[in-house]
Amino acid sequence: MAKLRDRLFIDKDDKASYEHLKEESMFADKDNKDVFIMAMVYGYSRKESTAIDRKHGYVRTSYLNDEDWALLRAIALAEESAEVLADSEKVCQLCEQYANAGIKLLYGKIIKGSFGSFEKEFEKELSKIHARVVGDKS
Amino acid sequence: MRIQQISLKNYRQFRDQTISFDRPAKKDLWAIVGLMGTGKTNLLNAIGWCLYGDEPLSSEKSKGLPLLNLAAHEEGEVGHRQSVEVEVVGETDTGENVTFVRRASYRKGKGKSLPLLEGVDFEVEIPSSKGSRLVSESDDPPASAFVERFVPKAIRDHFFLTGERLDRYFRDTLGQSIKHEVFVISQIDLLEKVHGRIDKIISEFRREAGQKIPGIENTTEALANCKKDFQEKDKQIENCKGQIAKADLRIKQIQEELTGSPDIEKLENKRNELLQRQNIKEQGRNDKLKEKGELLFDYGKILLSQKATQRSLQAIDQMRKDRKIPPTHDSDLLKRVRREKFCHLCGRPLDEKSTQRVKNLIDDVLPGGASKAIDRMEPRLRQLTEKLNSFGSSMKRVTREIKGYEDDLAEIDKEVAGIDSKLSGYNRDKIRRLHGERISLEDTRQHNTRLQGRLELNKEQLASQIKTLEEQERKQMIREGRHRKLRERMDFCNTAMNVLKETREDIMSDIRKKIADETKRRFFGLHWKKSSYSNITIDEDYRVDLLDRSGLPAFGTISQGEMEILTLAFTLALHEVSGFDSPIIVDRPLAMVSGPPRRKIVNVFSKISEKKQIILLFTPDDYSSDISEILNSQTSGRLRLVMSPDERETTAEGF
Repeated sequence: MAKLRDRLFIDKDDKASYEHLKEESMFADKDNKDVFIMAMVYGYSRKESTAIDRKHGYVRTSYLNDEDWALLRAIALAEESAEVLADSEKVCQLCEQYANAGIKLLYGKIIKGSFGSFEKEFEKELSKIHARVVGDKS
Repeated sequence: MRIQQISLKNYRQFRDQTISFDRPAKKDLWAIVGLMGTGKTNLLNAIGWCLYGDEPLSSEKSKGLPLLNLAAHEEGEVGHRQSVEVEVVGETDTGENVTFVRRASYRKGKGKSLPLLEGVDFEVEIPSSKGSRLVSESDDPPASAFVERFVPKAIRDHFFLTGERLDRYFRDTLGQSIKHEVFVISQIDLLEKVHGRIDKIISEFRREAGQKIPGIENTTEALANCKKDFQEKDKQIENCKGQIAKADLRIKQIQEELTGSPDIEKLENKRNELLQRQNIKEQGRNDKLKEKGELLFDYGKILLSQKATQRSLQAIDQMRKDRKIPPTHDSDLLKRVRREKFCHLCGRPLDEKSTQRVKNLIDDVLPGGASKAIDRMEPRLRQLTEKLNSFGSSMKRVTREIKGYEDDLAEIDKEVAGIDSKLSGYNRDKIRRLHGERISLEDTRQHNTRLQGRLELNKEQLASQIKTLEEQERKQMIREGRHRKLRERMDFCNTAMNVLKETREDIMSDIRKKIADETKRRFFGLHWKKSSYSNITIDEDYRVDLLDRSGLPAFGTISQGEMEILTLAFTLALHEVSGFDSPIIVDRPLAMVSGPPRRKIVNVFSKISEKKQIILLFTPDDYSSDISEILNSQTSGRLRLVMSPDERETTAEGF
């Protein structure tokens, strides 16, 4: 079992985007790892994943809690066989690639939209997903 | 008595001018027209100066200047004396003349200095059995006493009026001062003088009694002190009444000024309160928006990764089904069981086979890390899936709360806008000041009302003490039979004083009623809108009120023209009751009136002039075609005041 690395990477060019996002109301007071995970799930939801060109350590893995790891591993497990769970490096890479694609989509969506419009759209999107999930359950 | 002639020599604009008002056959109505600055108001001032030695209508600027005509002053030589002289000739009903003359002597100083006043003298030429005789101020009675028989100084404002103030007459004239004037004109002051004289006589009798009757001094002294206190309390009560009347008057003025204007302080307080509520609501809304953002963020992570979570849980379930992972297990417990070779669930030691089985459970089903990972991730993923159920309700709750705040804020915005709209266009500082002044006046009024109540009580107690002491004094005198005559005299004086007091009260009440009735009769006789008002009331303190058809006070809504008619009605009532049938001179009677009431007011003056001399002073603008159309045919004489080209002299010309 490979040793867990101490950082999760983002593309160096996206560092500014991450920081800018933190100035948006929905991302205010959020840590690096929170924004990273949001970028990751955003990329995953749109099935967009891209390799990182220039790596920049952005999230300390020691800061990730069980819930964070559960999400990272769920994304990895959804893509790969169960063995991936024993390979933390692979889990990290898969998640970094989704986050790499997700941050670009997310940033583009927020910065290009009018103030407050992202939250409204986001709420609609979540409601649709929720309705589908609830529908699936029932 | 009417004014027959006014002569002015070197008085302000008037170098040498005589204006005659010869007794006419019918209407005693006179019109004098002059541009601003030609001397209309100074004509009234000249009458005032001649009769009373002052100029009631002079401006602050002209008060400091000498009366001497400037042209006369400049033409004079240094050191020479020049005199200003105003002569008012009054004509009695029997056609006899009473001439009032006041002269001021000036001496011209060097350079451009103002003329120096050297002295003023006043004389009256009255009819006598030998034709006439001159009375000066040093005579007994002095010349000024004869002025009091023409127009008493105390009530001159009711004879020499200015239109610019007519509409404010009842506001500027305190009820208390009218009361005092009525006191004078109704000649009740004579009763008061008699009362004072008798009181003095009684004091002398008491002194005498004190000397003659042993032991009575204490009673007499106590009585004198009580009476002194009683008078003092009376003065204080009058002062309170004056303060109350003054406050009432100003409160009334303020109320009139504030009619229709908003209560700025109340509205501003309300506005500030709303703004505070707005801040709280905004804070609440922002907190809820933040909460909503956090919910979106948290649920966003779960919902956007929901497919992955679902697939992972399905995969885990499948692995468990395939026995690739142990059923739900506690890895720490397994490790402990393996280490201690003892099963803590069944309480038995493990044999070799069981130990190997436990080892397989820990290591062999999945690669060690994967199993551990599943072990840790599965409960979290199930928790997250469970959490999804509350998404709808949480979002609805926070959205509803935000809407609640926004509705409240919209309501507050609406209220603030309403207040702003009410406040716009008003001088807030002025209205705030007036409200503040009114509150302060109401406090003053309340304070004086309470004080008056206490003083009245003290006065009653003193009256009772006086009665007891007088009785005591009387008994002491009766015991001392030798001084029966003195006692009888004192009794007589006391009885006389009581009679005088009662008479005075009866007369005052009677006069007030007469003035009220006469004012009412005159007002409804002169007014052109008779049905608009129902009554005129005059209270004990001579506060006049006009009541509308509903019986409510109408001073707040009365027009300036109507106020002028009410003033004239009241003035004529005073003339009637006082018995002083002197002329009425009005400077700019139409100054504050516009539109159709102008003609009506002029017609009112014309009607009054059938029984009383009326002299009206107009500007050419006031004497417009509609007015001249009436007056040109009804006046006994019309004069125009014309200023010389060098603006130093005014002359009067008939037209």
